[in-house]
Amino acid sequence: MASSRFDSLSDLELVEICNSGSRQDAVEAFGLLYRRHRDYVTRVALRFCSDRDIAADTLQETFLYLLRKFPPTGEGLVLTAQLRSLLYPVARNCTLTAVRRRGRNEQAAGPDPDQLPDPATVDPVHENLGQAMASLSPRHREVVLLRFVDGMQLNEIAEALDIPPGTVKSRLHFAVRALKHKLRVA
Amino acid sequence: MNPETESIELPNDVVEGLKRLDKSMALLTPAVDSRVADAAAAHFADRSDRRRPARRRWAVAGTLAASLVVGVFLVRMQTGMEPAMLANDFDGSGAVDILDAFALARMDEERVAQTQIDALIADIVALNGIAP
Repeated sequence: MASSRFDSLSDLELVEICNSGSRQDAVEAFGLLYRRHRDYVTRVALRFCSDRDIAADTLQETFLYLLRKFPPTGEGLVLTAQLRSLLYPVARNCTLTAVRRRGRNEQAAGPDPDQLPDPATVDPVHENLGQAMASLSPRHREVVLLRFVDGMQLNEIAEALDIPPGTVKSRLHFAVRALKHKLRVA
Repeated sequence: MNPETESIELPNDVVEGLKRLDKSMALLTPAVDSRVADAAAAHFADRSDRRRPARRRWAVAGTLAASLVVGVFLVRMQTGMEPAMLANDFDGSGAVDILDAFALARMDEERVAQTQIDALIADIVALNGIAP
């Protein structure tokens, strides 16, 4: 990844530069935001479909949406939580819309065989965990990933999914209990 | 079980496994990288090349401090009157001076409304006898 003189800045500071910085600084700050969160947005897309083209389209659409938030087309972005809680619903909706538009039911079809790991290299723990996650409903799987993989707090998950915090807590509680039961851990 | 009292944490090894599982989904996107970079360049194209300081509030405060000193000096020189700027006595010293500008700069952004800054600038303009 190319280094930037803004590497030490937080997302919040980069957003502020995009809001009101000079042309050169804004382009650089936005580029850094993109590089920081590109893989995350791609992973979010691939959680909802296995089509790499859709994931790439989602990546582009998500960042073009973010770009439009900044002047001159937007009024500027005010971050009240981590940037990922803003990117997540955009990426999720872009992906699901694209899947619907193409008339595919990715969840029913299962993952792309090209992306399945070589059976010889699958470790049992990894495989068990994958099966345990697959046994959860999409809603429960989603909150587990947001909480434990993305590291979001309950209120950030609530904001990302546009549901009440109590619902997040309830789903998470159910999902964790189910996972522990499947994996036979305390 | 009671959701209020039961832990909703997972063991560390399970969390690490989940992260590995998620990271196995990687994608190289050079075409998208290029299109997003082009879109950003076009989006910000109309902005000035002049770099804006990262700490705008400090820059504003510094400018105000300099303006205050000059303004107060000019009014005293020209009219012999004390400037009617006690509303800008941010540090409560009974006089408006450079320390007020520093006090202004130390205030939280939420507390320093743009209207306050505008009013202070307007006062300085009035003190200098410049029509708005």
